[in-house]
Amino acid sequence: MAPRLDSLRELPGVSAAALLGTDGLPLAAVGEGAELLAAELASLRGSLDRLGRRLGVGEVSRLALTTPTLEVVALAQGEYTLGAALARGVDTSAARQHLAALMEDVLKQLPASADPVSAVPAASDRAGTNSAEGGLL
Amino acid sequence: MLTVLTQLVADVDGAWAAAIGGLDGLLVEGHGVSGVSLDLLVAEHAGLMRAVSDAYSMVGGGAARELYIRGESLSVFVQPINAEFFVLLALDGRANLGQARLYARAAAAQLAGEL
Repeated sequence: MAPRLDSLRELPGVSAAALLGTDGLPLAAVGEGAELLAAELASLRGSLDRLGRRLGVGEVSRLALTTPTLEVVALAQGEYTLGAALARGVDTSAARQHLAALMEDVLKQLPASADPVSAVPAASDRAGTNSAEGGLL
Repeated sequence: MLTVLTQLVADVDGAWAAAIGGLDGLLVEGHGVSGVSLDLLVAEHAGLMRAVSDAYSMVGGGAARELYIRGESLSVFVQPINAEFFVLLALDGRANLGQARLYARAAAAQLAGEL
């Protein structure tokens, strides 16, 4: 069972939070716009992991972005990403600490793969050919 | 309508085609970046939508709100627009399903006024 994210909403300035796998669907979500946050964080993580891989610097473990009205902070570990959206100008350190603690719980509670289907090799993989199915972000 | 479909394919990671189909199986409009027949995809998924709707009516589940089928090399997300039409989004194996759900829903709401 995915951990509840309600405690994140109690932090000052947090408007939405989501835990997601590689497919962009929220495994847990709170707040308005959390589904959108999950979908776009998955997309961002995919792009950033590709960047890290191409640069040879490894996978992304944290990401943060700022707009005129919003701050988004997120942690990535394994196939999971946990992120929160906060009002601009709010100190994000409490949210980041809380996200780190929650992520530890997530990794204890959830399977290593967010996608049960990906654990099963696609037919083309079994045949030794390339497939878009098996890779991570 | 074509603009909405083009934008949908552009906005969803891993999407390669989008179409508006009728539950009668006919393609209304389509946009794709590969050679796969959208006529065939719409016809087959219209049949699946009808079957799902029949099944859910029988078990008291109400109208189908969305349908997602994941194959080894093709996945399809279907979002009803109204009782007669639906948006079909064709996806590859690593598509962002979160984006597909959200943006197909938004596209259907946009198209509802035209169909």
